[in-house]
Amino acid sequence: MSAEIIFTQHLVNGLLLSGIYGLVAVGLTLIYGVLEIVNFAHGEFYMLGAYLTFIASAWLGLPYYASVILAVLSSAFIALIVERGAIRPIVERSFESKVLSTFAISMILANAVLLLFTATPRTVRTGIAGTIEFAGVFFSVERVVALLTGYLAFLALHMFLQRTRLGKAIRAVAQNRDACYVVGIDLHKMARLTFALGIGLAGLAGALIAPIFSIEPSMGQAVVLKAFAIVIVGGFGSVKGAALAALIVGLGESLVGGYVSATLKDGLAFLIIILVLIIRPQGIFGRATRVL
Amino acid sequence: MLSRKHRGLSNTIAGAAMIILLFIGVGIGYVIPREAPVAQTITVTNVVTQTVTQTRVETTTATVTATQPATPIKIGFSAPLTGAGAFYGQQALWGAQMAVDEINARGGVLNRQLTLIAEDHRGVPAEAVSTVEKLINVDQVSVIIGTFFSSPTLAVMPIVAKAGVPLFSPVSSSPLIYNQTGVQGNKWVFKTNPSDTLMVRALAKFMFDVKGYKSVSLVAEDTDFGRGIVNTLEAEAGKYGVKVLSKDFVEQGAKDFTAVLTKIRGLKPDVIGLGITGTAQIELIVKQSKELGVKIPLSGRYDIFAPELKPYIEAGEAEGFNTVTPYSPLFEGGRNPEFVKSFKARTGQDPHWNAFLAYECVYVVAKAIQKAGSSDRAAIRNAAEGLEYDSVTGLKLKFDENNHMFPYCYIIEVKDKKFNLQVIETAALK
Amino acid sequence: MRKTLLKIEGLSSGYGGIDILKDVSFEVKEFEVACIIGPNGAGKSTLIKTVYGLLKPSSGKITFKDEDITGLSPLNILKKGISYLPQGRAIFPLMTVQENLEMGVFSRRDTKIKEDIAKIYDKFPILKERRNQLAGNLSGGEQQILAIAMALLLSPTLMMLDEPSLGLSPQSMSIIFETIKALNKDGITLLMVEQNAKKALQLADHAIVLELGRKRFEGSGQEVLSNPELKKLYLGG
Ligand SMILES: Nc1ncnc2c1ncn2[C@@H]1O[C@H](COP(=O)(O)OP(=O)(O)OP(=O)(O)O)[C@@H](O)[C@H]1O
Ligand SMILES: [Mg+2]
Repeated sequence: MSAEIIFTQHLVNGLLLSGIYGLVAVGLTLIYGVLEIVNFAHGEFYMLGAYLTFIASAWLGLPYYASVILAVLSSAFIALIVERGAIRPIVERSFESKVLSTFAISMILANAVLLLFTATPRTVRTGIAGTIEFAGVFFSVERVVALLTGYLAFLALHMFLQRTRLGKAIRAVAQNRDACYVVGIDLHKMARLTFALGIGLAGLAGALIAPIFSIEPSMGQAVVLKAFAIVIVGGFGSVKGAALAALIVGLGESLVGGYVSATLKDGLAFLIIILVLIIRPQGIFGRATRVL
Repeated sequence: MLSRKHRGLSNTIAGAAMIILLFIGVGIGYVIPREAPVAQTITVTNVVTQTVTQTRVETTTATVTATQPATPIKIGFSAPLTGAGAFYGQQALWGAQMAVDEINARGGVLNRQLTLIAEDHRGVPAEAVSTVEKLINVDQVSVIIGTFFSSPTLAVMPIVAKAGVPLFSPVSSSPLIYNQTGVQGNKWVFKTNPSDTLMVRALAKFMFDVKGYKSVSLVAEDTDFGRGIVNTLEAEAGKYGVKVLSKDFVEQGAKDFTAVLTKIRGLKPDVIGLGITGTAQIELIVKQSKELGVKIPLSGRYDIFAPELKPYIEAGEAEGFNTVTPYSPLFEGGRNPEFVKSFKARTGQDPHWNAFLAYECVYVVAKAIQKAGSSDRAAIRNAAEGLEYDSVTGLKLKFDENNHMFPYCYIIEVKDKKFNLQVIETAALK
Repeated sequence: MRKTLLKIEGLSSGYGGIDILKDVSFEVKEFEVACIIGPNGAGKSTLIKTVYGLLKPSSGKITFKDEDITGLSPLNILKKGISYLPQGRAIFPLMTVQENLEMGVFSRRDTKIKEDIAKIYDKFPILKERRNQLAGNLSGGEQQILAIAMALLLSPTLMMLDEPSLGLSPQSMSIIFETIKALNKDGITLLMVEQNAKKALQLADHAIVLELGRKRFEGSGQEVLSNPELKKLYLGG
C-alpha cells in the first residue's frame, strides 16, 4: 500500500467528517447571528435528530431517506415549540439569561431522551451500508451520502439566504436589528424561522450521523464543543466561515489522528481556536466580511 | 413586544404543549414495541441440554424486606448505569440484583435481608468518587460492590480505605489494582476477577503461539484499562519476538476510528490488538474496518459478546476474531448452565461477564458477612481476608495475600460464524 | 388651523419599570416639521421609541389620525403610516443599495414595488449610482439618505427621525436637511430629534424642549431660537 493512497484515504476520511461538523456549526452560527443567542442546546437538537431518525427507521420501519426527512421536519417543528416557550421570552434579556435558558433546554432534552431511551447506544441501519473502492481509496457509502446531503443542504441554505426575500430578511436581522424596525421586518418571525432552520440543520446532521456512529443521549455534548470551536474559528455569525472552518477541523483531525496521535485528534479543534484567537480574534471571516 | 400578561400566558401554553409532547413521546415509547431485547443466541458446536431443577419465582425485594423485623444490610453498588458503559452497568445490576433476590428468598444473611443501593457513575472516575462517598456517608452501607471499569475503581480505592469500608471489585481488571491491594497496602479492597495481565498473558500465548501472528498493531482507549492492555500485550509480544507496528490510544467512547484504521491499513499487521470497552465502540471498529477495506483480525480485550457484533459474526465478517473474557455463558462446567438459564428467564438476555461477575461478587460478599457474623464494616473486611468461595463455575476460589481471587478466563475465537471456547485457569498464570 | 396628526397626552415611559419620560404632552399638526430638542439623556429617543411601540408607556395616550395607537406593535404602527429612523444608520451594511431598497419594501406585497424603487432612484440619483455597492461602503450622508429612502418606500404620513445628522460632515448634514425639507414639501409630516438644534430649529414649525424627561418648553422654532435662557442652555449661547 503506497503512502499516497493512505494519505488520500486520510483526506477522504476528513472530508466526509467535515460535512457533519459543518451542518452543526452553520446552524449554530446562524442562530447566533440572528437571535444573538449562543445556543447551548444545539448539540441536543443534533442528538434529537439522530433519535428521531432512529424512531422513524427502527420503530416505524420507514426507509432511511424518509426517516431523515421526517427527522429534519420534526426537529424543526420541535424547535418552533421550544422557540415559543423558552427562547422568545428571553430574546431581549441579558446574555446570562440566554445562556441559562438554552442550557436548561439542553438538559431537558438530554434527560428526556435518556428517560425514553436509556443511555444504551442505539444503531440506525440504512440498508445502504457498504463501501466503494476507487484506486485503493475506500469511500463508505453512508459517509458519502452524508457528505453530499450535507453539501446540498449547505448550498440550499446559501441560495436561500442570498437569493430569497425571506433569506435576505434573515440576513437583514443579523446585520441591523434597528433597521428592521424601519422597514417592518418582523424580528420575532425571523427569529422563529432562523431557529427552526438552524435546528433543522442540526437535526439533519444528527440524522446523517446516526447510521455512521452509534447514537446515545450524550452524543450532543462532544459535537457541540467542536461546533463551537468551528464557529469561533470561522467567526461568530459567519456561515461561510463556519463551512470553511469545518473543513479545516475535519481534515486536520483526520491527519493528526493518522500521523500524529489519535489522542490529540479531539484536542485539535481547540488548539486551532487558541491559535485563531491569538492571531485573528475575529475569526477567519470575522464580522467584517461575514456572509450573514 | 408582547405585554407581560400576554407573554406569561403564551409561555404557559408553550410549556403545556412541551409537556404534552413529552407525554405523547413516552406514550409512543410504550405503544410501539421496542426492539426485541437483543438476546444473543450463541450456537456452540456441541450443545449439552441440561434439565434445570430449580425454577425460582422472584418476588420484589421491597415487599420481602418490609415483613422482616431486623434491619436490612445495605450493600452499595456503583456502576456505569448510563453512558458508553450502560450495557455493562445494566447487566451488572441485573446480575447483582439476581443474587440479592436469591439470597433474600432463602432468608437473607444472618437472618437479615440484603438491600442493594445502586448509584450511577457513568464511567467517569470523578463521579465514581462521589457515588462512593454518598454510599459511605449518606446511605451508610456496610460494603460496596464496584465500581466497574478500572479508572473509577482506582480512583475510589484510597477513599474506601480511609473511610474503612470494604470494596469488592468484580470486573475492573487493571493490574494496577493488584499492585495496591492486600499485603501491598490497601487492605479494604478485594477483587473477585482475574487481572488483565493474566488474561492477556493467556491470550498472548494463543495469539503468538497457537495462531502464530508475527506482527501486531495496538489500539486502546486512553484509560487505565486500555493502557494496561497495551503494556501487557507489548511486553508479551516482546517475549514471543512479535513486532509491534503501531500503538494508538483513543478517547474512551470514541466513535471515529477511521484515522487509526487507515494508518493500520498501511502498516498491514497480522492482527490488531485492542483494549476497548463499549459495545457500540467495537461495532464501530468492525464497521469502519469493513468500510475502509481493512481485513485484519481483531484480538485483545474487547466485547466479542456485544449484541451489536452478532450480525457481523453471522455474516462471516468476523472470522478469526479472538479475545479473552473473564466469563462466557457458553461454559458448561459447574452450575453455569443453570445460572445462564435463570438469568435468561429473568432478563430475556444472555448473561454478560459483567452480570456473572457481579452475581458472584454478591455471593462472595454474603459469605464474608456470614463469616463475620455482623454487618460491621471492619468485621466484614477481616472475614473476607483469605475467604474461600465455591464458584458457580465449579472452581474453588480463595482470596490470596493481595485480596484477589483467580477464576477461569476464556479464550474465545470466531470460527465458522460460531464461538469456539477454551477455558484457562488464571491462577496458573500468576 | 391645521389638523392634529399625532397627539401625545400625559405620556410616561422608560426602561425596566423606571420612568425616564414623565407626563409629556404635545401635538404634531399635519404637514408640519416638529422638532424635539434637549440635552443628552433627556429622554428624546425614549419618547420616539415609545410612540413607535418599541417601549410600552406606563401611562398616557398616543393618538394618530384620531385613532388610539397606544400599545400597538411597531409593525402595526408602521402600517398606520408612521415610520421611524432610529439613531445611527438604519441600513443593512452587507447588502447592496438595491438589496437595501428591496428590504425597504419587505412589508409590502403589492405590484408597484419596482416602480416605486425606480422613483426613489430618480429622487436620489446618488443611490442609483451606487446601486450595486455594499451599503456599508457608502459615506455617512449617503447611508442616511438610503435609510430615508427605505422609510419613504412605505409612503408614511408621519416620519420620525432620531438625530439624522449625527456624525455627519457639515456638507452631508446640509444635504440631509435639504432632503428633509423636500420630504416635508412632498407632504410628509416630520417629527425629529436633533442635537444640531440651531439648524433644526430654523427648519422647524414647532419645537418641544425636553429636560430630565419632562417638557420644559413648547413653541415655534423661532421662539426657542429667540428665548435667551433656552438659547444659552441648548444652543451654546
Ligand atoms: N435600553 C435602555 N435601558 C435602560 N436605560 C436606558 C436605555 N436607553 C436609554 N436609557 C436611559 O434613559 C435615559 C434617556 O435616554 P434617551 O436615549 O431617551 O436620551 P436622549 O435624550 O435620546 O439622549 P441622546 O441625546 O444622548 O441621544 C438615559 O438616562 C439613558 O441612560
Ligand atoms: Mg437619543
